[in-house]
Amino acid sequence: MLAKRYRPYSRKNTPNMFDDIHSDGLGEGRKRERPSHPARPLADREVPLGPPTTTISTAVHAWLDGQTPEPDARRGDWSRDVDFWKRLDDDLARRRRMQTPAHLTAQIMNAIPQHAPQLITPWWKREFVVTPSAAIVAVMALMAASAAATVALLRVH
Amino acid sequence: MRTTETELLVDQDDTDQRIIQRVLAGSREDFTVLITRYSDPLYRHALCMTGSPDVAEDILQLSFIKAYQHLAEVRGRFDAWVFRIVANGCKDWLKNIRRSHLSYDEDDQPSGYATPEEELDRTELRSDLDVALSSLPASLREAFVMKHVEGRSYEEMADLLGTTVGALKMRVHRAREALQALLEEKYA
Repeated sequence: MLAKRYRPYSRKNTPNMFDDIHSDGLGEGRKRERPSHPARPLADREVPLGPPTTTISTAVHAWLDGQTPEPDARRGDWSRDVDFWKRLDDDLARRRRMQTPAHLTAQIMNAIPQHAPQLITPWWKREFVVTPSAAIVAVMALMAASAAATVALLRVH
Repeated sequence: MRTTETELLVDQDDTDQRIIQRVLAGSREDFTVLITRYSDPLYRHALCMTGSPDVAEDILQLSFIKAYQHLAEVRGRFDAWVFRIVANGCKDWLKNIRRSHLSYDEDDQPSGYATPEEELDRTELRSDLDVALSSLPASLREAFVMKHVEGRSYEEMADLLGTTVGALKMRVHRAREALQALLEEKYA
């Protein structure tokens, strides 16, 4: 008789996990705080997990992406983040205005080859032109090679 | 008659493809138009990725030389093609050389700040942002620079980098959060 197979949980009595999104106190306008320094020194051969991060609200990301207006991003306790990014944008704006040094174009033009660029085709893609004389030479070479191989085989046996 | 540089600059309607055809036909000087047209955003990218004006100039020069030598192989958009050459140059440089502290030279932009204190504050922010940017992994830094310095859309970034919009949004978000974590104590 075959043993009856049971699922670990039937559909009727599967225990539901209650996941309260606010259970860690991260409701509207509150940020997850992370320690700026690790609680303990790293052990030998332990690799740090990249730069520290903080949490930025979706509204602030959307504002930074130009999808929502500033007042929407300032709702809740996110005004501080908006001010931070506005301050940072002053420097980013300076970077956006930066131009190539004037001498660089002439420097590049002096450095590039004097001849026109040519298409560099790898040898296996190149076109082969077979002339009658080249074909005769190739056939003769092939025949000589096969004859030599035959003689060598006969000598072995 | 030889075309002057001014004439080349004025003709903005000339398509990249037509210019490339002229360069391939032997008009070497026409390559100047392509350099002038695209060097600024490429220079900004290289400068923000490497943090060094000298390195950015070197990368740009080598990239345009490479672009010239392989110009006959361009398929599709020239700007996207040359961007990939520059971006790969920056990544290769970052792989080979790691620097703990980088700073930009003073640029020639006029100062809009009223007092010396504000000017000092501005220089300090610039330096701190450089250090914070250099601490980001290359992929996050690249996404952040393309979004916030080059002002590109996610779709354009995805097209240039050959990845998805979702992946790039994630990179930009992570870069912002890392930068804020590094700088907010001082500047928030």
